[in-house]
Amino acid sequence: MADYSIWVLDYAAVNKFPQAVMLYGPWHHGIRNLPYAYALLKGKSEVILIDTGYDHKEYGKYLADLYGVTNWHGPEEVLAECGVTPADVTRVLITHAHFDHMGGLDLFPNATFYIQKRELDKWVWALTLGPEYRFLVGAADPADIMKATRLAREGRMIVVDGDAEDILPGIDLHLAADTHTYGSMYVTIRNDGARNSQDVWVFAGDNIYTYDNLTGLDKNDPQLVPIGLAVGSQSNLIFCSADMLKATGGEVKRVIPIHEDRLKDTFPSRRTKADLHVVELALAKGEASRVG
Amino acid sequence: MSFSPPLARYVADAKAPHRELQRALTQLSAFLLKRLTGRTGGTIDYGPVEAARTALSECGRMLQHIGAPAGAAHHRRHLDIAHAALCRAVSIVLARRGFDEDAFFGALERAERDLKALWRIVPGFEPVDFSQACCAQHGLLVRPEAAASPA
Repeated sequence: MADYSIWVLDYAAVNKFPQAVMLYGPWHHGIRNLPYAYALLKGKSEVILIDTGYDHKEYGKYLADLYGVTNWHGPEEVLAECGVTPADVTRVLITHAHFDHMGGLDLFPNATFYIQKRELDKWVWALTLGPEYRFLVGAADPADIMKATRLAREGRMIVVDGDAEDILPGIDLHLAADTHTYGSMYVTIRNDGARNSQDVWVFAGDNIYTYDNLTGLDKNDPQLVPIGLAVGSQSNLIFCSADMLKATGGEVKRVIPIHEDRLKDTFPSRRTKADLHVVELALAKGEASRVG
Repeated sequence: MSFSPPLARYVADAKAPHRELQRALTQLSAFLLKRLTGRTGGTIDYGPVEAARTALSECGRMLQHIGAPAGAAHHRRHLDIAHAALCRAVSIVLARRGFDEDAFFGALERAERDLKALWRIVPGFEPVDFSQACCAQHGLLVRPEAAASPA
């Protein structure tokens, strides 16, 4: 029986997203739907989020108008699909400092947050460079530094320096340096609690955008293909992908790309009234299905 | 939104000092964040403070040469207040009589409020540039008029 119930919850989407950003190379393969989502874990007396989403009231219209981010819904509404409120969230694991993963730092009033030290340090460094280097800052929102500082003053921002085992029972953090971002991390959940677990889930952050990053596009000749947007190296992305796959014993579907539109078809899922998806990966003992 | 020529000139001129203020706020906030989350007894990294001081100096120099037409007085006032608040934050860090964290963070919050106000008054002063975001990579498809010509 699983220690944690695990869901992936959509909160917005970009309906027309170029495939070449998700997967390096296929420049003329058109567009895909790119969901914005976070993961919810419940178990061991904890309610855990992997990433926060962003706060639409700050930038929503700006993003919608310029880049087509649509159908945003706040965490009150999204988490309610699993019977959780933002105030119930006890821990948040931030995979990287981009706005769509970290921009909701102020939306979970009782949570403690975890982020890699390298992510913060290198982000701040990149911001010292001139505007001609702005690619290196990526989608980071400087306002999130203030939010993080506020949390640190309250003792709710934990900076992790490298890999960390059992940051919570059965949950490990892994630094993926110089990949999608300078200090990205991916999260492994050993959902049976065992050291050599047979029930591992990996939350990849944006080190992969799609399962195709783990398989390539040719079923008969699989390969690792990096994403098309990174400040780090393609080599690091490929080796990070290999490490994540190794953690699941090679089971591709257990390495979760949070922006993968096909999660809803790969696992039991349900479409909500708001036209978002609840995807159910695992259920802990006593937990009712949220997609049945 | 259309501007009179003096107002349009002001908006164009004010973007560079605004950018320096954003940079200074980020650096000073990062300084405090690192201080709060670093190892006890570790060396304090004053690099972000130096970077902020440089940005504020540059910002102050630019602000001296920017006149605000009547329609921009409110906007300019927020710029000046944010600049003064951040300069105050730097002086708090560099004061010899110990670090007053509450006063420092209060100055940062004051600057943050005024920088956010700028965006609400005039478009183009967004506190963040999303043009490099994952979701923005197709921005030129959405807005082809924004595409740059090769030099």
